[in-house]
Amino acid sequence: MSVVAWGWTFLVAFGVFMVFIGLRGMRLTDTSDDYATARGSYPGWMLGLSYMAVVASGSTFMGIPGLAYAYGFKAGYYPMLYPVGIYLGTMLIARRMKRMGDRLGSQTMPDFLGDLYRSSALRVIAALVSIFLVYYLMSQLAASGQMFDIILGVPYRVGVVLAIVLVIAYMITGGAHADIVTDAVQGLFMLAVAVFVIGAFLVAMGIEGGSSALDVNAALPAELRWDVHTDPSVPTFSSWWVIVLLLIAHLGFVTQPHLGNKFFALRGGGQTRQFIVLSSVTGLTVGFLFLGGVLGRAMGIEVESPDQIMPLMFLELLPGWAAAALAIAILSAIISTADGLLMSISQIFANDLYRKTWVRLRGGDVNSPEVDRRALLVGRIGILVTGVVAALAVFNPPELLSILLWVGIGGIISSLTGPVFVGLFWKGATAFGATAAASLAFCLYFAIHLGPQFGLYEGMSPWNANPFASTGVASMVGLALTVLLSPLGKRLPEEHLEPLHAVEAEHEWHGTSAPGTVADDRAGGAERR
Amino acid sequence: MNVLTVGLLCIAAYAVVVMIWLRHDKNKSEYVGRAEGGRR
Repeated sequence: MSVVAWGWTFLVAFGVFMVFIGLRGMRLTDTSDDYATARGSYPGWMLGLSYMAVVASGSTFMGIPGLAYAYGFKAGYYPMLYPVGIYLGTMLIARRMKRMGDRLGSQTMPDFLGDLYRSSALRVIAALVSIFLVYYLMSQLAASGQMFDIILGVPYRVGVVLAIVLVIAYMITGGAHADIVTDAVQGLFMLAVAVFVIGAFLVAMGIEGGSSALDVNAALPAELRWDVHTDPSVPTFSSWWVIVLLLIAHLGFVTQPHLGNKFFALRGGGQTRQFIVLSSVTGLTVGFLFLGGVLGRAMGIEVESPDQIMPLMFLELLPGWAAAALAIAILSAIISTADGLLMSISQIFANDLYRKTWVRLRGGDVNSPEVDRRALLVGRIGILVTGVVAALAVFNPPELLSILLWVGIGGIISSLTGPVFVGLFWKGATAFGATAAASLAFCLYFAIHLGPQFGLYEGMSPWNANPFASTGVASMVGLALTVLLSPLGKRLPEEHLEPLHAVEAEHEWHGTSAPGTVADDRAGGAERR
Repeated sequence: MNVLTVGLLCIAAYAVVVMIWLRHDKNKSEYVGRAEGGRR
């Protein structure tokens, strides 16, 4: 059987399995809270795997090896350091986020901010900024289009459509349940590929006469070898300071809506340890996929675009069925991120803007069954509309995927890092401080990076072309502003803050919500009792 | 030192931080249990 035939076989099996999970998820979904969070439903290890899969996207599998193909070993600083930044940030806030989010009954990150600071304005700002996630989604769909083109011989546009149809199919039915379970399974595929690529690099697979990593390094052009750490002509790796900012930029990565809500799904605070350890160990492992880009360059494979190096390398190194199976792993990486993004964007409309802002403005009851039903419907429609818009936006393949997606997430991280991190730890954080900081930090990111990226003006190097450095600076400014400006606003009432900051109760550790809390009600506690 | 060595050192530093956090987290959970009157 040819690669293409094998590819279609695996793809159909994969698709059927994902839709099955979607239907199972639908059976488990009764309320809009179930749909948005699957609160308390899964153990730490499974969510850890799922979290890793969401974090490691098409960028990890295609975009970053593409950077490594173009710039050599120095590009490896990105995938070796970004997980450290992300998982450090995650470790810092996971337990608190879980505890406070459950106590407030928050369904999304913008919702959490709105509930914590008691501010509709902050919820709306966070929600609107979060719509930029659509750029992240666009980059994933473009990656899948490339994959389908190279491995399955399907035209790029058809590939984009196939990917979005599959994701919409299981997400519209199964919501957060489908999201988490499919992600965990996809995470296992991704881990298997990463282990293979690391092994291939270490034995210099595909390098004539090569037997170790030393031979891979020797086969590269001089400026791409592992003793070259920076290159002033490459904005992303131009200096040591820029590389440090790369790590700092990722500390706030966890504030993105499609990641922050994963903590709400944890069964209890006691599950956080499994979650952190498993997600960071697997996340750091898959980061080393960049070695595939280096290996591909050393092998002398020629590409139309650097982002194509991984699938092309698989075709070169492996028998047809294995290349096709690995293609499914790449598709897993893409889809496991895309589904979470779709979910989050749809919930911005269903929960943050409709239920918690619009309904409240009209004086309605946000917890009524009718509003809940409508929110569920808005969420499902949101998934459909967002998917279609994102697919259309990348009908012409964009340039370097890794940079495109940061148009989206850089703004979110810059804006939300201050309010989230400070609010979780400091009772002195106020709505005024958080709102002002969120707005100003986003404006700063826009001024130094997005403006030039959108072609509005030239801007200053490296900020105008380096999203990580810009995000690193803007998010730290946001942190400082939240602290400095909060005293200018009204302090939140003690009766609101005290229960939120209180030590974990036993039932919260073990994973059963206290009777009568908002979280318990949402999880159907009243019906169970 | 090459790029791989520097990267692996950073990862090793992170592993140390995680181990410290795991210890701290364990101590905290024992406290939580005691705060609830020793019920588990």
